[in-house]
Amino acid sequence: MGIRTHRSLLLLLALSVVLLFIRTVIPETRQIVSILFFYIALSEVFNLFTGLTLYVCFGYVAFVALGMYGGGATIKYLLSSPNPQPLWVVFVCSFAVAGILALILALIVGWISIRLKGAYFAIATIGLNEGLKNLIEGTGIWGGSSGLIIANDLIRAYNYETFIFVTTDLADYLIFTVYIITVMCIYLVTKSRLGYGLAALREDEEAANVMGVNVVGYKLVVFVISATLAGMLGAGKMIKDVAIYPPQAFAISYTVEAIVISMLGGLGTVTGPIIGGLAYGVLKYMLTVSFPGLQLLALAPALMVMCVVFPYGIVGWLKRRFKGGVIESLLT
Amino acid sequence: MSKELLRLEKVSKNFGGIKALNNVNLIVSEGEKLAVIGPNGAGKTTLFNAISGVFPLDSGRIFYLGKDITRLPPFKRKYLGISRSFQIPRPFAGMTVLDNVVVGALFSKDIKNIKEAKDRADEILALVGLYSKKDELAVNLTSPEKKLLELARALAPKPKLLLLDEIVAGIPPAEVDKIMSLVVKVSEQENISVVALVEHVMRVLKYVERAVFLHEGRVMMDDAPDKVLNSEIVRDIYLGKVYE
Amino acid sequence: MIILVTAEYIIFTTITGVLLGTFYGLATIGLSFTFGILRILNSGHGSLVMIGAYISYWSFALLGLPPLISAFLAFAIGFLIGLILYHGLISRVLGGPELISLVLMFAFGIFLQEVAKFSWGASPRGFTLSLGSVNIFGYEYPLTRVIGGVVSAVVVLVLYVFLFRTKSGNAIRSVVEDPEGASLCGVNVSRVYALSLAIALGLTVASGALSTLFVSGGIEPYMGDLYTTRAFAIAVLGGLTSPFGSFLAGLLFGIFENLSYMTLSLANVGNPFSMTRFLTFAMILLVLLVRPQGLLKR
Repeated sequence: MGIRTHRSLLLLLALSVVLLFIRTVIPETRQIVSILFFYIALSEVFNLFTGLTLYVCFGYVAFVALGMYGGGATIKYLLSSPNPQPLWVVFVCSFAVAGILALILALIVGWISIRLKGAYFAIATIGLNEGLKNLIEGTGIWGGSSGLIIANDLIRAYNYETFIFVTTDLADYLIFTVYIITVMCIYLVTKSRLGYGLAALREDEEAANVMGVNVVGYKLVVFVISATLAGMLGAGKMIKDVAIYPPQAFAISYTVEAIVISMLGGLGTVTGPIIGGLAYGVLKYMLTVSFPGLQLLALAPALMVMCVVFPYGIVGWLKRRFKGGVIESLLT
Repeated sequence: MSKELLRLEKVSKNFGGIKALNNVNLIVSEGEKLAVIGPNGAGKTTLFNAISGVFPLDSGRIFYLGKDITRLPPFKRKYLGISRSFQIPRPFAGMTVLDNVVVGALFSKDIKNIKEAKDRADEILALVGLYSKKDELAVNLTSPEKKLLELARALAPKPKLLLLDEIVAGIPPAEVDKIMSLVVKVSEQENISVVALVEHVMRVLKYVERAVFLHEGRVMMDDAPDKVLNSEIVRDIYLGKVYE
Repeated sequence: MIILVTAEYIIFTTITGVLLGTFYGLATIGLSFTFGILRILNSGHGSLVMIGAYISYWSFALLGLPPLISAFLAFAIGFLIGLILYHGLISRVLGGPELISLVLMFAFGIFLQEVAKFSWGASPRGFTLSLGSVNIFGYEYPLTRVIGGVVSAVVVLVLYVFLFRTKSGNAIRSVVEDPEGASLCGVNVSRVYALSLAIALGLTVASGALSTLFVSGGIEPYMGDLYTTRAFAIAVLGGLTSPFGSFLAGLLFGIFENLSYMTLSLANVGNPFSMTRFLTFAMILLVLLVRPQGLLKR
């Protein structure tokens, strides 16, 4: 158990730190890297579940949104008291609440649908976005259709400079932290007993069950972990955006982008999302320059073609091409 | 007197009107080796599926080491020590031979961690003669090799009860003896009860102490192999005289 | 303010629910057809309904065609889309992992939405077609909706006849039962799949065209999402593999939706439309929990 066995993880961490470094050192890149990191983080979360179980969850938008609402409401609540808590307490609480809410929702939806075939699970998760959005708009909780805004609360409780710091740098560091946690989760899971079980159930669920793998339990565990992380990403996003409105919050577009990045990079691989993210970032930049506003229009058919022609992604393709040897171990 | 390992009590299962298992009673003791025989469609594989827990029973109960496991899901039964090989090998195609056996070993009560599982997998693979292919993808194995892999996977978890579904079907006679002696050796070494399902009974007869003859989901005879084979009922069914 | 709910009103709500339900049933049949025959879930289902609605709109705006006529055009277009989609992409992912086909159809749905947005903008469009109204139990109900309901039922009947009385229909049913066996009997399984997908998409797009008989406005690129959720709820209720089960479930769902609007409006609990949509999703979870194979078995 030395450096050799953890090569892929180290490569990933190295790449991530480099990106972070670029962002800090070159201020012009701040926005792009920041957005890119959110998408890479979301792709890793998507990858954690879908890559390891081959079940598709289309509902991460809902978990992120729930995290945004939960985190935002917590911040609002904590800052409304006459003695505002120190910064770090507020944020730890908002992340905790966001994570817990997402966890509970995932337990409910997962326990009901994950024991069924993939199509039923897809139905439940596609419906989840609409369902949650309508619940919020219908009951008016958390601001309902008018949305939830925490900008003023933050400025009132702390000074303006802190506000700027929080909504730009701190938010990004927090998102980066969730990303690292997600990556560690993927890595640890794949190397563990859970990982073997998941590999078996990916191949043949029924045989895996007979071989002793708790198929439903394992899928559920991974699902709940990924949803919780998505919720925490939402908490981070809330701190960045300081506002959330139902139509934008539940916009399907960033599900598509997370799926594209994961598949482009390579489902089920640790390094896939970051490589996919970088490749996608470049593509997106080029698209935005030549055809502004048309990303999804180009992305959707690209995803369709990828499903048929290139389902293993860049990393998957590289692993097949260079079987055995250094490159494969680098890319797990 | 050996301990009772597995007991089926009045087990029945219908599939769309056909009684695949009809009031089956069976007891397997520790360390026994028996063969389940019968013509095509007699219910042999269904019996195995019932013991594995692949589907719920229509009636009856199954006891393992005295505990009622009728409602237990397959993966829990495996954990308790019931291991099974499939008639048509179902290896995890995209995984290596070694990893296939590791999965078999890992999810059992006696093996605590991945290292132990890997060691055990190495041991079993050497035993069945697949050690040299351990890093091959399972999908690349030849048919007989896949059968050996099935056996290895089933032996890996140090089971107490080993269900072998047509382990020697489609294998040349010389190989049959090799595999069966291997099974007997390991089962005696590790105190495993073996239930071998076979259609062509002659091949395994000398390795088992008992034969259970199934016909149309019912246990027609349950006795020493030569007695079963020489009985009139069995002779008639195999020769096709009794056909309702 | 006290609103009196009379028995007549409840009956009215139920009957109009049935009429609405026949339309919902038609809009869902394509989903069950695709899943039952090709074992593929059309995760982009709603977008096809949206396309149908636009076809109806443009046929009316440019050619003055009423929705009943444009429904035929819509069916033809949907049919064509199905054939192209099958031969181009679906045939290649058919035996593969579920994941791939789910993502593929999802992306297809998004693609249609974006094409619509790009071509016709995001602002909602609509047109009114008034043919007077009908008196049901003392309440006025638009004739267009009655026509929509009846036409939907007729279409389903035609489908039934097709599946059970024609050679192609029998071929389709044989493939559902046993693809290998059917192939051995000389059925061109690939053609059956293509035909089935084409019919399924055709029906869905056609139902989108008929939707304009029920709702006169709100045609915009993202209107399909609501239909997707509804179709999913109806399909799991009726059994995901059973087209006619879906139709019956559609009727039940239509009644449910109407009664839900009515009850929630009276109870004054939040926004009745949003809450009904939330309940639709809750219904999906409930059915999956209790009886995932659907209330009506195949």
